[in-house]
Order: sequence, then C-alpha cells, then structure tokens
Amino acid sequence: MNERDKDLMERYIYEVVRRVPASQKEDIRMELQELIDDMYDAEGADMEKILSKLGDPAELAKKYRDDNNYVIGPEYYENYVWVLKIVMICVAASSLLSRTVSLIMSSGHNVFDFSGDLLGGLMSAFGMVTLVFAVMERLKVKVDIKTAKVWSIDNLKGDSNQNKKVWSPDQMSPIPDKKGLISRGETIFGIVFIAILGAMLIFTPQLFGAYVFDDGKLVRTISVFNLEEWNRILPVLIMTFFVSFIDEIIKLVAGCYSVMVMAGTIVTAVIQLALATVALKVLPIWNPNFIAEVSQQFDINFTSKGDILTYWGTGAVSNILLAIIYLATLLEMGTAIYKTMRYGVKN
Amino acid sequence: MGVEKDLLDGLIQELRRGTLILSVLSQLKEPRYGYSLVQSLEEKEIMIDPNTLYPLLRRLEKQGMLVSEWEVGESKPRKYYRRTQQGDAIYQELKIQWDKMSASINNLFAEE
Repeated sequence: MNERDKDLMERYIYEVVRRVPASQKEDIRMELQELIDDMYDAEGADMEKILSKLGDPAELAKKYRDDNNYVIGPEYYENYVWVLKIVMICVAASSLLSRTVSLIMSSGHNVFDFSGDLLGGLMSAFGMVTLVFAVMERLKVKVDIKTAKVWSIDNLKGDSNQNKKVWSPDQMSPIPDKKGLISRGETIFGIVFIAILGAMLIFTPQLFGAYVFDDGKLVRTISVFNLEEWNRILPVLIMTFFVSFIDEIIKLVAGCYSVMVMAGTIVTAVIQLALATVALKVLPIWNPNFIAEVSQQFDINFTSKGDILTYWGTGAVSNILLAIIYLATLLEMGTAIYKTMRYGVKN
Repeated sequence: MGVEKDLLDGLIQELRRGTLILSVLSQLKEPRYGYSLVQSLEEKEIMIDPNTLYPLLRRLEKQGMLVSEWEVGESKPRKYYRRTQQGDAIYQELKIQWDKMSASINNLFAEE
C-alpha cells in the first residue's frame, strides 16, 4: 500500500471513528483497518474504489451507532451533557450565593423565593444549552448534505445509489495537526467564567460594589451598576454572554481549529465587541451615585488626583474596561486565525 | 422505468435485509473474520456489503448471539466471530421459522 492510499484509509477511519461512542472507538478502528486491508488485497489495490464501496463514513458510523432520530445526536451528546453539568453547577452555585447574601442582609426573602430562583435559573440554563446544541446539530447536518450534493454533480453522474447523498473519499479532510487542537481545559475555563459571571449579573448585580458592614454584619451593598436601569442593560449583557457561549461550544465540539471555527470566532467576536460597546458607551451602566453614596457611607472624600475613583463618571472606567475587552477579543480572534492558517483543517 | 427500478431495488434490499441475520449466523459455527465471511457469502451468491456486515456483527455480539476475539498472532490482527450457545439456539429456531415462512409464501404463490 502506498503512502497516498494509506493516508486515504486513515482519513476514512478517522471520519468513522470520530462519530462513534468513545468506548467503541479503538475496536472499530482496528476492525476497519482489518477490513480495508483485506479488501485492498482481494479487490485489486484501488483504495478509492474500496472506500467508495464502503460509502460515506457518516453513514457507516450511523450504522455502527444504530440510531437515527434525535434532538442532539451522538456526535454532540457527550459534549452536550458535559457542558450542561458545568453550566447547571455554576448557575446553582451563583443562585445559592445570591440567596445566602440576601438572607444575611435579611431583606425579607423566604426559602420559597430561593427554590423558585434556583428552578428558574436551572431551567433557563438547561434551555439555553440545549438550544445551542440542537441548532448546531441541525446546521451541521445541513452543511454535510450541501457538500455531498455539490460533489455528486461533478463526480458520480448516474450512480443509482439508494441514498441521495453521495460520498467519496475526496471529501475527507486530513487528520488535524496536534497543535491545531483545542483543549477541553481551554473551553471549560471560558464556559465556567461565562456561566458564573452571567448568573451573578442576573441574580445578584448588587454584589459588584462596596459592602457596608455594621458591627461585623453585612447590612447592604452599594452597587457599581445602575440598578435602576438594570432592566434595559441586562438583556444586552446576557446577549453578549450568550454569544461568547456559542463560540465556546463551537470550539468544544469541533475540537480543533478549522475554517468553520475561525469564522464562528470572528463573527461572535464582532458581535461581542459591538454589544460591549453598546453596554459600556451607550447605556447608563454605571451607578451615577456610587461615589456620592460611598463617600457618604464611609465618610471619605475622593479629592486627591491620584485616586482612581475620582475618575468615576468621566467615562474613563468604561474606556479602560472596553480597551481590555477589545484587546482580549482581538487576541482570541488572532489566535484562531493564526492557528487555523498554520495548523487548521482546511475544508 | 427508472423510478420503478429504484423501487424494485429498494424492495429487494428490504427483503434481503430480513435474511441477513440468518445467513450470517449460518456461517459462524466455526470462527471466521469479517472479510472471509463476506467472501464465503458472496461465493454462495448472498450479497452483503461490508458496511452492513460489520455493524451487524457487532450488534449480534451485543445481543449475545456471537462472540468475538482478536487474533494477533498472524501478520495483522484479525477479529474472529463465532456463534455462542445462545446463538446456536436462536439460529435453529430461526431456521424453523424460515421453513415455515417460505412454505406459507409458497402456498400463497400456488393460489395464483
């Protein structure tokens, strides 16, 4: 078997194996290697003919999986459950935290409020994660069909295959370079960060601010955010988090950089930057009375030039934060572009 | 005619699908590896695509009718399948069912 045929075979096996449950991957890999090898020896060393006879690896994987209709398929399922767990834990923890703080401040909430909060939060989180994965499942399927159709017109005219989708070995992308892989650790960090920050901004925006203690007991907080306008601001923030969440999920599912991942990162980054700009520059996100309230409460005067808080209300806080967000987002975008061009799977 | 042929092909395939398990079980009294099974069935004019056979073997194993073992002694590792005791029993029962069914179908044909 020459190098090219061997490479085609490995690509084919990779395409099948990545779609089957983890517990069967190794065995199916060996089994297919044995089969293709045998066919190659017995049916006249024509790798393309053999792989065409075996057909679309996605179809073969489906036969191995032995199932069909689903909201979230096996290809995404493991990642789906994994993300769901993380997000639920983060949301539950944030909700718990917010209620604990409220109880400490004894603002009259009871346990029933808490369970309602928790349940609502968990259900929204569940719905959000499921929605993202279900949409991805559908889009991916669509993309697959489209490429197969385009290909069949040029190549396999008059092939009366029972399936309308025609697959050929040429469609396979090479096995991704190790340096182009996206680690789960990278995405877990992003997802945890998004889930916790998002849940806290929803449940307890008042926790971002100055804490007023009386006799060692927490009495109230002075939020840095403009809570009076919060109903207007929160949706924009949630949208921003949702978009970054989608980006993380795309990366997690793809597992390696590719043109699709890069496009996803660029689109989500642009949306994030636009939303962040709106939130920080257009909307009245900051509590205009923060300084006044803090000086009154703690009896401090912010008069010296060196004090950062004297710049409150001048837009400097927004600008600095925005600069950080821009820098981080552009860095992420740059990384995605660089890794895709250098090591990514081209398809 | 093209549509009819597609339809016919589909129906033949469906008919064949039902007999596959029987065909496969019949060949696995002694251990065999996947591709030799494809070849021996083809010799007997039972056509089966490898992309159908391999997942089928796996499923039958999961259902307890077959058992597999990797032979690594030879030039390349090969997975051998053979019937289990349960597989033997089911195979015998399926054969009886097959005879009954084909007798009934033949009766239907004879009515024409």
